[in-house]
Amino acid sequence: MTLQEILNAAQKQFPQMKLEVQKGDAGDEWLLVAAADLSSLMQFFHRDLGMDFLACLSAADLQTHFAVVYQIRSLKDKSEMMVKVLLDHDKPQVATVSTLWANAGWFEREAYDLFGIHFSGHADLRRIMMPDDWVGHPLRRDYQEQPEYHGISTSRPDSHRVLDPLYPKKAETGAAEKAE
Amino acid sequence: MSELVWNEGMAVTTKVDWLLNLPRKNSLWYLLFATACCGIELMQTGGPRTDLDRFGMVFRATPRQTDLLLIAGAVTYKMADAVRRLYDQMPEPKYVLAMGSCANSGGLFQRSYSVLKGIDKVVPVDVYLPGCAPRPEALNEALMTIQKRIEKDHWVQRMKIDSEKLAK
Repeated sequence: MTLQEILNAAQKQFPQMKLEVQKGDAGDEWLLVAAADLSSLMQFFHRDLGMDFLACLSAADLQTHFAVVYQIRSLKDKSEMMVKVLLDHDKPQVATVSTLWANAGWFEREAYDLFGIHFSGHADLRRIMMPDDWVGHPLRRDYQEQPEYHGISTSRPDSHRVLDPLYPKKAETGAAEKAE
Repeated sequence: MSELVWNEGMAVTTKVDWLLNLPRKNSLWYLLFATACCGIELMQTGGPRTDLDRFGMVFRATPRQTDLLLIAGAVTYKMADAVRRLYDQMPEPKYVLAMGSCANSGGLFQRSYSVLKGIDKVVPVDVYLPGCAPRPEALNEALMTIQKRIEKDHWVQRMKIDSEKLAK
């Protein structure tokens, strides 16, 4: 099934939904979906189109929005598709797909851990990689690193500053160039 | 062997420090604790070519039986607490070898949000071994450096200081 055929099938099933096929620079194409429609649409893909395998769930911080990207496959007819959903940057929230594909559970925990995206309906949404008491979500563009963790400083003297005798000179000229 | 003086009859006189340090440096049991790719070089060093066994070095799976904490590879903040705990569980005297750039300073990952910027932020380090990853020969030399470090320990003096501390 091509992506256009999938889009037509989905549009037939849900005529009121606003669906769009977008193309990337590398020739890849994906289906852009509104966050509110994701749950019922994914259910349709899983149940009616036989998309029985979630290959990957990833996220990206686009500064104005968060994007969550789903790679889903049908092992039966060997078709593959990409679904993207854009979320509000201030309050990123989307329905979980872990009820359809069980492996989404850990993917969603990872996206929650590193980006702070909330997946509503997830059974166990807590951090998976960073320690439980970590502050902030490290892959966000506006992430501010804490000065220390459990009393351990998170910085080290800049090795260029320590070892390179020309370092202050370089830094000053760099700053002067910037000021100009 | 000049420290040993054979007296007539059966008695042998020697220095207490020398006698205590001799078995200690020749039976350095290390903790089986490889966190990254340096662990592969560590395994290689244990193999027949550089053969750690001839130093009396064997790996132990519990910190309670080890003398040497050999940190091979990058350590994350999540792991740092565990490293500290393992170090605390080791009996005195204990030594720490930071193997590879990541254990020394964070190395390749020192701009990362999750990697500890050098193991010396958590436990005191005796020998730093640079390299990414260090060859088995380099690790061998670092271990011999630790042995030299052990040779210089003054146990009599240390025991005296400890007993004075206890008296206070």
